[in-house]
Amino acid sequence: MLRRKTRLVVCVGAFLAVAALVVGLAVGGTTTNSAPQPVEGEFPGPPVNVDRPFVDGVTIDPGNAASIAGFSAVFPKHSGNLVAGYVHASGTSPDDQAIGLVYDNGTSRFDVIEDKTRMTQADLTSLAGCDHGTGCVGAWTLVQLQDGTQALEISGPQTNGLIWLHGERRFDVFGPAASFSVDAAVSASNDVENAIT
Amino acid sequence: MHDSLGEETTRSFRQLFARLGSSRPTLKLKLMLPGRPALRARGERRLRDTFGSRLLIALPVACAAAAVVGLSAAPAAEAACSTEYGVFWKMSTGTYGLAYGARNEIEVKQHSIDSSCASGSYPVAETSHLRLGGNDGDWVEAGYEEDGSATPRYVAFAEWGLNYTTKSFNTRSYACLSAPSYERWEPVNAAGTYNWNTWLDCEDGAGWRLLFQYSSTGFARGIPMGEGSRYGDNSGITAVHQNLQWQDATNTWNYASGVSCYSDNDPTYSGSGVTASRFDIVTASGSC
Repeated sequence: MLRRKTRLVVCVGAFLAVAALVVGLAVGGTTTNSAPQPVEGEFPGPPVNVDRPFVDGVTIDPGNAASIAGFSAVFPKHSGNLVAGYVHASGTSPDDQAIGLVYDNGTSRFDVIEDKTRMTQADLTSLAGCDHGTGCVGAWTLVQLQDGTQALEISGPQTNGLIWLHGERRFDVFGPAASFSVDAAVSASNDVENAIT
Repeated sequence: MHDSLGEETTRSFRQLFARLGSSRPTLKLKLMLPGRPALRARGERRLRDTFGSRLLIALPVACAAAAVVGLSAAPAAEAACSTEYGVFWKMSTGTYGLAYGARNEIEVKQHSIDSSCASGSYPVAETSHLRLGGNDGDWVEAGYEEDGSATPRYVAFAEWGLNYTTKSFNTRSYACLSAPSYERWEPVNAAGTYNWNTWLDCEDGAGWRLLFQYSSTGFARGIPMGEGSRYGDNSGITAVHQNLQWQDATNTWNYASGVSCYSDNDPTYSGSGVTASRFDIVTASGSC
């Protein structure tokens, strides 16, 4: 039979072991409530796929985009290699047409989407700001391109990108947030804007 | 053999004060256990022996092992309810092109919920959905979410976003949302604008209820779809999406002329075309 001192030490030791187990479980989170949970408001939208800029896209030779889209594509000169070009399916009205370019900068793929729009600068500006209380995620801020054009920067958690207007044209440059940084998005956007003639 | 608590404690104090050589006790910290005599030299040696024993070497090892067991049990639970799966089927508008609205009649039913998803989370959703401008990363939708409580609750919700990033997400409770039932859902463009309204018809005779409005989306049209999405490997999303319709420029609702799979990353559920204006989400593996 264990002596009292030994029994005491054993009891204390058992208590500490149980306490350590409880602490470990609490910190590690085997209970479901401590695991990342989808709460009301956190279905984050469609899964990111920059290899498919359009739902109904058909591949084209981007150099021939004007004959299909009704306007010529603008190509960034220093932001990577062009992987593919898309327009919307045949039969799409010219007003709905767009050009979707997929680029690879060696670190990430990203999209350059170009279309005609009646969106105004006021419309774009009104989208700045992100109220997380109403389900907005990431950051939606106004930034300036090198030539002074005001752009809407949408950063994280899914993608980083910029949207801006140039006359009646709208440009949208974005890539996966994990591989396409905000700086990369800004750089590519400036590259596109500078290429507009 | 040990004396009673009172006698031993008194004797211990007397011994202590005797050592101090003072009739006025002063505070001195000394280990004195209730019901036990003060530690004598022999007892102190035995205590030292105990602390040097293998038992006390094993003690911190046991504590560390217990902590490791607790911590290592976590990752599986975290992954189980954080992975999202989604099934999207699109409506055909024939040669019309992009639509001004989508209308889906969607079944509300009780689904299995993964045990790793806490009660109060909402891991299952079914929606009427449009991809704005036909772009993969721009969307607006309206539908319901189901929570993981033992008696499930359903809330109506609507959301929209650009570049795969949610701009707004809003929810509201309605008594009509209970299983089993059918409700109709509409994201619809406000004519002449880039604004969208989202609507719910509980099919209770009260007509359409305005859910939420979204402004300056930059798009007036999109590709209409239906969606079922879930978190949790053991959560379910089977549902009927029927009477699928799309709106044209004259505000006329037209039945879909066909349905087809658009995207499906769900290993357990897939869409199944039933008629030109109905698809069901069923238990089936595979992608589009």
